[in-house]
Amino acid sequence: MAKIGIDLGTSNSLVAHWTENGPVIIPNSLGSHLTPSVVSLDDNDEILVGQIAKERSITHPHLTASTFKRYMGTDKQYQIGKYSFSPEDLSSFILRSLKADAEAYLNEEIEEAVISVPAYFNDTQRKATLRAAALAGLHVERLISEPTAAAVSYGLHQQEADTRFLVFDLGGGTFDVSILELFEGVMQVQSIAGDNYLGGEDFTDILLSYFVENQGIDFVNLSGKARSALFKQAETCKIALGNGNTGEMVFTEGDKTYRLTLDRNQYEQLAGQLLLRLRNPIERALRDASLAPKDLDAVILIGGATRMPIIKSVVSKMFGRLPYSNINPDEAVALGAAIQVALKDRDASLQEMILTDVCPFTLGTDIIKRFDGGRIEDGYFLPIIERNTPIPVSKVDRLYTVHDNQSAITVGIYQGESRRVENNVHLGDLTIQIPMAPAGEQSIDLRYTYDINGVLEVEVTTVKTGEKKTMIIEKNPGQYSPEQIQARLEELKHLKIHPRDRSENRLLLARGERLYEEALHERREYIADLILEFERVLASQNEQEIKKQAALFKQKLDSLERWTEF
Amino acid sequence: MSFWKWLKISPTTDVKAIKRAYAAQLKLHHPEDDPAGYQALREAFDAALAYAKRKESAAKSESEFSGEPANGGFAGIPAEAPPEKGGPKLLRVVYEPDVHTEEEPGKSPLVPPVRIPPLIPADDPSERETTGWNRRTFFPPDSDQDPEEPGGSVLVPPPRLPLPPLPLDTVNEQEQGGGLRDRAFPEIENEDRLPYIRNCHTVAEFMQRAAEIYDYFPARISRGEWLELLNSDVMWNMRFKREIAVQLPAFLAERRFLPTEIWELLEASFGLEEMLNEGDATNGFEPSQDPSFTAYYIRQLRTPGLRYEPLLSAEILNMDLYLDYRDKGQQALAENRLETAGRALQQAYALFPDDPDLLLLLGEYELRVGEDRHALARFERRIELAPEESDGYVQKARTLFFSGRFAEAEDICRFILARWPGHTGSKLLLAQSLMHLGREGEALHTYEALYGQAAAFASQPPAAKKRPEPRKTAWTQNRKIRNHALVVLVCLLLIVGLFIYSKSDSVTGAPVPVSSLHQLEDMESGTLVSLELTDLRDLELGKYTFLTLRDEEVVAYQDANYAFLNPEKYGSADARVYQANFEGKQLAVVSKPLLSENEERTVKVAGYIDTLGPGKLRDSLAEVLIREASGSREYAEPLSWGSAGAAISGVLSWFTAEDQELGPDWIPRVIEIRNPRGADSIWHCMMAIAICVIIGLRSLILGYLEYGRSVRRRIWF
Repeated sequence: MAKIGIDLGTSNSLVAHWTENGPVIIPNSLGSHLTPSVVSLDDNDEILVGQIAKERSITHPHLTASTFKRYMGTDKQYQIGKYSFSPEDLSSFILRSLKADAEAYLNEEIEEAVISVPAYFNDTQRKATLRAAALAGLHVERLISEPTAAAVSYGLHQQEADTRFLVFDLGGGTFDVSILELFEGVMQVQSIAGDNYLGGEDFTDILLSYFVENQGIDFVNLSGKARSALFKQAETCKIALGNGNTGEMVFTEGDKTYRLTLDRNQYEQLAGQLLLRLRNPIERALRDASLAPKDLDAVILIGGATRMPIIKSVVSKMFGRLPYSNINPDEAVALGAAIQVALKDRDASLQEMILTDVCPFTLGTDIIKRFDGGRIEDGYFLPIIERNTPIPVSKVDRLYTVHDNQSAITVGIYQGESRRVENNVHLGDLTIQIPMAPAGEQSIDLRYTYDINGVLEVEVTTVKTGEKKTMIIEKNPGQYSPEQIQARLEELKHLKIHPRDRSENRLLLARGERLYEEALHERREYIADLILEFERVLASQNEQEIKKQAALFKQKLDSLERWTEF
Repeated sequence: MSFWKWLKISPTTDVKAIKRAYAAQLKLHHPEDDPAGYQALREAFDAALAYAKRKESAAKSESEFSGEPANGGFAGIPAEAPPEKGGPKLLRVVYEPDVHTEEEPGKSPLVPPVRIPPLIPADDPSERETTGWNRRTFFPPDSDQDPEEPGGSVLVPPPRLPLPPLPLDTVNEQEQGGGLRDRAFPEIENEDRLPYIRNCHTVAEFMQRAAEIYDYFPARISRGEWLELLNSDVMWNMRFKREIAVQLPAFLAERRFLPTEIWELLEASFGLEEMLNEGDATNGFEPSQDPSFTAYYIRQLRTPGLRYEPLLSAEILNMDLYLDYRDKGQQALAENRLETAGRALQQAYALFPDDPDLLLLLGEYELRVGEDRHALARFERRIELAPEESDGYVQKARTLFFSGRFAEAEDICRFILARWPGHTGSKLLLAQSLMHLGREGEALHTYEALYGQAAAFASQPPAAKKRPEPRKTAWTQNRKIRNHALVVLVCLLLIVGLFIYSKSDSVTGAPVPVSSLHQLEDMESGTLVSLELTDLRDLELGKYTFLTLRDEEVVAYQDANYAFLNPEKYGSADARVYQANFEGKQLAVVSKPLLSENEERTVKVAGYIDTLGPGKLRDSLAEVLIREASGSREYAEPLSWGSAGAAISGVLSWFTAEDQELGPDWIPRVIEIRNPRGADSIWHCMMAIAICVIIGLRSLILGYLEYGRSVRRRIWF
């Protein structure tokens, strides 16, 4: 049975598998490698995924959800039509679609996969990803971190060399920095750092904000559609500024037309603040690996946003070298995930490479500190596993009671870098009974185990009695038991998914609708006619006719698209 | 050193060998299969590397002393020289800051010289006019591979790793006209480079420029200026950047008045918050010793700041002083320390009265202490200055509302809602005003509009509507209430005092001095007299006796406070003054010691004077005496007299010469202590009490009303 590697990205997702010639990206039902991570509800209550949904984000923004990866592991609910979905549900639709694509391509059933997550994803977010996979009917044995996957896809050929490199991953929504060392067939992650709220979309957002402020557009009172249109304008402008020296944004509301032209210099000034934020994770990663920029042999860029020239120039300035971006920055991660699948299987055609990863956050517990003079103060953080410790790892620490006759100890589990627990993230609590005794005489052993997927297990043992208590950290304990996952799975199964084989035509329709929205007056009538014509042909169910008409329709839409960009 | 056992090699400083050993062992303890073994192996590996590094740096420092480079050639080349296999040439030349590449190329046999790659000509069309994303790939000039197709197979060996690293530590080299950097980055041309003119290259330059920007107010609040500074070259060198970060807290502690967006810029660049809280171990920076600055910094980041732009046009001599007052005022107001807030804000106002943000703060302060008129003036000025912002109008409406001017409040609210339809605070205020104006129907509509639940509000009094968290103005801080409370207190005290005065038995006021008892004849009853006796004979009592009697209800006790004269002068016995109660009256009885200290015994008194007049008393007294005289003892010895104590405050009554008819020996000396208050003075007391009650009540009512108003004030915003 085949296994696949999946890159579940903020903006786009991909799926790949391993062949004896190396990893290969599997195209989706529309023939492209990238499937936008967008989910939409069709008028007939069918779930649409991918490019079609992306088109609909302009025409039916209230029925479409995107960039939900940022909210994985949170309680946010997306209201789409009459349904309410969590980010895991939405991700599971994407995964299901990718699964279907792989099954169609490979002509066999797929049940297992390796999925990539940002290196900086915390425990809750990783669990959410595993849940999404379960909901899609995929068994995921391994979560691989994205920069490691990218490094793997580059590193495959450099096995003899002893290299240190930095992976600079600026995706749609997140920024990850990883420093890896490759030697003797060992790919070792030295340190990772990142910013979960910095990505290509933020660069688009500043253009959008600038446009809105500069032109005095009343953003707050705009409809969802108008906002999507604006966002799209900003995105096109961003791309234009990357290719050339100027970019333009146009927006019409009622009878007012707003227009703004920018040149590259202005854009760089606007983006200045975002660029500053790139520095901190890089510095931290280097510091944790005890390296200076000059110690690196290469810098690898992955993630679509690294195509922006300002990013490239910033990277060059920081490292004094040209960054390396041979492999398509969008595809590197999926390819790496596929390689990882093969590695896990110890596939014979692949020379053995052992991959070791590190944990991104420090994990610890809250303790009470005793100062000279007998003063005690609580709320201090005791790290048990420091960040960038190689995983899997298991560490234990012994803690003692503070008050006389304590009957129980409650261990708070925290994640973060601050000395004070109030500044760190509280993951959960574990309470264990202890025999009563004067302060300091009873102790517990607290063991944190970080498995290779970055999932945390906490075990508390009362030293005296040997009683143990274990806990796997769950943000909302009990909410996602296997039974509940199964139940939700059943619920989701009842949803209709748009059939694959009709997706091409559906895309054309969605695209047409979008162009209709974006166009003005006379052209709108023209587009409306085209759409009606195509729908009529579709209704006829005549395969030949449909195909012909589809090609024609597509051609016309293409020319329209080019036209609207003027 | 058990970690060598894990690696299965003998101790060595050869890093390559350590890595090889680790890799080999890793196959036996795969992280997926043997997590515990892997953990131990990895720890051993890390320990071995650390060991090697230690030994290496120890060796290096030794060789530096001896003046010879450790490895021949470049000082500072690590033990792992790049591999000299036929494959890719990895140029990992390490530069120390004071080593210039141009001077020592090719010195070491191990390291090939630095190669400066040939230029890609700047106007190469293939670099410029690429349209699709996928065409923009990078290739080092010595590659003879074709540009890859996007998404192509990864198995085609990519071009070799590109250019040698640049000596970015020697940032100063760039001052020599571009230098290596420009030539090695062909496509990052001048137009791509960030167009920042004033470029700082050293830490000192940076700090100097930062001070310049701060000192010049328009630059200080200009985001562009700071952004330019933060993007200058020195900031892209990590070591220098950290150095700046370490110096910044001290710098900023002295220059702390910056707009919020500048703080955010600084935080984005340096991550000072974490550094101040946690310290920066590698740089030896202790967690900040100055918690007040840390708190200040965090507050600047978290809370929306006051604006700086309006101050651009102000002519303030000492800008930082003004900003300091304003900031202190804001903070004190937020913590409701009204005294401090008032002072600071007024001082700021004295320096510059036209700052819209200050006007808001000052007005809010005045509103809280009850100075409605002033508050109104402030908000009106604020509206003049910033007519497009809703805050001034909202506050004005509030002020009018609290002053009871509901109709005007209503007008303003309607005005606000016309311009800013979503402003729920004003809607609520409008509804309240309507209620006060008695237009309940309209008020109800407004509430409905607010919440869309008609039924719920029909039955609820306005006060029960959902409100934001009340801000508490302690009633003690409202001046008016304070004054009223004071008055009430004073009145209470007066009432109590007068009451006690009117009822008091104690004799206040100076006694009238008399020199002989005979003078008492002319005095009113109830007069307080004092008679200084040095000799009993002053009393002109003649011989007198005192009788003690048995078996009566009178209880006499000795008052020990009296002193005594020299007994030789007056006889052997000491006189005592006894206080006694007889038939409800208090008496003082003079006699020789009859009782020992603290003894109590009943004695029969010889007689007393009461208000009925001396005559009647005389009779009874006489009777008693005569009765007694027949059968009781007599004390023939003269009684001596106590001295100072004999300045008796009391009313002395005695018997006039008429009494002497009864016999020379029976004259008792009874001193009566009597309530001296006359009817007149009681009447005066009553009047005074009544007045105090009235004043006190009035203040109480007014104070309560004021309190009620401030409670309503509390409920808002």
